[in-house]
Amino acid sequence: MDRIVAVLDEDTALGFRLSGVEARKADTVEELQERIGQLFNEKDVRLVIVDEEMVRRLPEKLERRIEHSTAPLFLPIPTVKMWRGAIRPEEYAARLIRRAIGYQIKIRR
Amino acid sequence: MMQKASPTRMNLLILKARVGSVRKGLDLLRSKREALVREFFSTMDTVITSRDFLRRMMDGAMNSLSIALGLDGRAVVQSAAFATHRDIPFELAEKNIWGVKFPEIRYPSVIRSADARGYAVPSVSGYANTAARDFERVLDQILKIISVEMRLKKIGEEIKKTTRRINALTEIIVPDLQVQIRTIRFALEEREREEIFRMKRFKEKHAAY
Repeated sequence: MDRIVAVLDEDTALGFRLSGVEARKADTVEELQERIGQLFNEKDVRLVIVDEEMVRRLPEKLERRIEHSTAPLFLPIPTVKMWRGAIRPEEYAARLIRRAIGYQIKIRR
Repeated sequence: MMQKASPTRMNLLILKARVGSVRKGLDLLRSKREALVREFFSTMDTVITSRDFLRRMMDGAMNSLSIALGLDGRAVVQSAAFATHRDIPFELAEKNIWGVKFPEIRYPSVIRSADARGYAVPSVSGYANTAARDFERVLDQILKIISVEMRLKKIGEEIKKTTRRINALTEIIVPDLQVQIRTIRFALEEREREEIFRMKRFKEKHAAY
């Protein structure tokens, strides 16, 4: 059966475990890199929830691999560590758009 | 680079017809790009709204978790988390719109009642229960977001691909065909002038006899 795995810091991972999802702890970028490497070899994992701020700090090559990967699919989410300096949804969408169409656009709401 | 056609009237007609069909193709590609851009911006709005909602839900869920950790202690929350594990039977299917394939996620409701979470309800405090419920809501929102974000990415890729095709046609193919048409036209005109000159010479020679 296809599985959902969350790779997040200790507290957020605990929260996701409470919701019934398998969650693995990754408090540093190095740990996240290691976990992602393992997940690429686990064929039944179809969806991976990761910390969007940590993904930004990954090496460019791995970040691109994550963005284009369809098996598993990676979904970066905002987490508690960046409580104050969280990326605004507009910024996240603008980055997604720049990757998708190759243009930097400014979103005003 | 395109192969050079020999300067004949037949080739001139063929090339003119080809330019015509390339222009029609260009119009179609431009309309496709326009439709995709419209779709792209409407999807973008949904992505921003859903992201905003997810962030607020995540804030709420983390608040609930902090309260549960503070009042019940980590060990109690962790033991509740062990009991809640389950398999979520979701399905990733592909949907085809205008020849663009989008992944679509199908899943049953992930929000459970307290007694369906796997732990003995009396042994777990209301705080841990609230945290579990809030994280289930976050998970539900995540599953909703995936399809929309993947759709935005795919539409973006398709816009990029269509723009590349339009550029190739307008910058390379059409100018190249026009150069070939001009070359053939010049060659044919030159041949015609030679023919007239030759006929005149022939007429002059003929008149001299």
